[in-house]
Amino acid sequence: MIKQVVYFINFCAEVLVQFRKIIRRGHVGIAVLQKQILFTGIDAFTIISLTALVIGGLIIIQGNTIFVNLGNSSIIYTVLVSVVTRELGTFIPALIIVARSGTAITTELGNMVVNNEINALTSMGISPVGYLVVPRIAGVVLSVLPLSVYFNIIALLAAGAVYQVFYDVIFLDFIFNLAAEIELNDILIILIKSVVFGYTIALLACFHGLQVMVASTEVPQRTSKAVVHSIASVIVFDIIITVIFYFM
Amino acid sequence: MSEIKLSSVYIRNSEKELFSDLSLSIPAGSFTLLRGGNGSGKFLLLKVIGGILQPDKGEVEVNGNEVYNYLASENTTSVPSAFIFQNGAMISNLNIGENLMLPLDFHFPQMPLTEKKKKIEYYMKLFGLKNILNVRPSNLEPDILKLAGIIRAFIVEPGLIIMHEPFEKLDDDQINIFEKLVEEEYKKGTSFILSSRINRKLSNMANYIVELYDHKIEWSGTIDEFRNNLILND
Repeated sequence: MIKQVVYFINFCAEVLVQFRKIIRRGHVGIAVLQKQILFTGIDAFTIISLTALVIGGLIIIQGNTIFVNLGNSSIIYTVLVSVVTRELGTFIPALIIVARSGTAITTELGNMVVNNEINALTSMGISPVGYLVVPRIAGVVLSVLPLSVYFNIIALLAAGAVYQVFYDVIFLDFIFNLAAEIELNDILIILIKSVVFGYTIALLACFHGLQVMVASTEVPQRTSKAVVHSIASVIVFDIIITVIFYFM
Repeated sequence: MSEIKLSSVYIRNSEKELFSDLSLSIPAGSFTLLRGGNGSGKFLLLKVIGGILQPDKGEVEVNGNEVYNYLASENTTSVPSAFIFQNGAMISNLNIGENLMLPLDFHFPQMPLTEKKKKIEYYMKLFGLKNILNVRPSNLEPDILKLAGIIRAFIVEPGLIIMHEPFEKLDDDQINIFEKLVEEEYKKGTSFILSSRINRKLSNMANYIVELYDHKIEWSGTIDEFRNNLILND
């Protein structure tokens, strides 16, 4: 266990060292970065859209019933900002990225270890951390950020659409009321959480992938560990960032 | 030409000690044959010499450079060694062309693209390989992957080429071309280390022998010393 922690710390340090060399290695790392953005960012738009539509719509349907009974339906805007913008707008995309990209990264790197591909890179003098890990982390971070912003926009627009269709609230009124509720901190929290979540998910996925030693049977074991650690880390960082932003 | 020096190398994994105080010196310009039974530590020793595995203790020098740190420093001016893996070890998410371009891009960023393509084309022709540059490794036969792995090692013109079971999966014609290539490069001054269960013409080219037994150097010396040793033991 202690050896694992030491290895993880060394791995994080190596990632930082290699990040500094990314510009020098640009000509060979850029293709990896592009592929990562394509897979993590662009290919995930469908599932992100679907989830955002459902979340936005459901909050209105569930929330409106409660708040109308309480006699204060305008509180729905506060709830939307609190739940979607401050929490689920980054948390749900992070979970989707763990499930889609985190598992894919761990499996891919694990299989590369088994097939001697990591050894091949090292033997050529190409740092596997520099060539494989750094572009993947950069790719995931650059994908999570626009995906989270997109999730927020779609979820809030879906909420507005459902509000108009089912409860006859004019869409433009909904937008103005919502805009009045959103503060600068809410925008900032999306940016910070996206970067922290993306970095953590990709780092842990790569770490566990490269922890595979020799056998392909280790790959699913490592993948499941990467998922558990990523979700746990996202929850912990989510709490920490929320506490820093809204309670301090 | 590369001189190889291992001093007091110590490696252990989570379960046991693999190398303890292993020292070895191979003269520059040698064609070394690495012998030893299954599980004697041949691949491990090759990985250490190739700078793939950093020993827990001890030093590994190839041509005067501490090999692991030299590789990690990403010095692109010279390539100390290249490795031919048993399975080719092509990067699976790159096609063959990209796989062969990768070490060239990395080590020779200033080299014009046309020259890089010419180099790749030369080796493709040499081994009679056609229309595989745009194909991913998963769609190719093991012998083609092996040849691609061989080309990847030769294409960067390293001082030392480490060959782990290079004949496996190849047919006789492919082996003949490969052996001729090795002979030519050896004459030009490239050092070689060969570890193979299959005895071919190349094994007879060896002028230095290293024998491993249970992760220890059982014997090492020139081919003449090896023959004398055999005669004495008989």
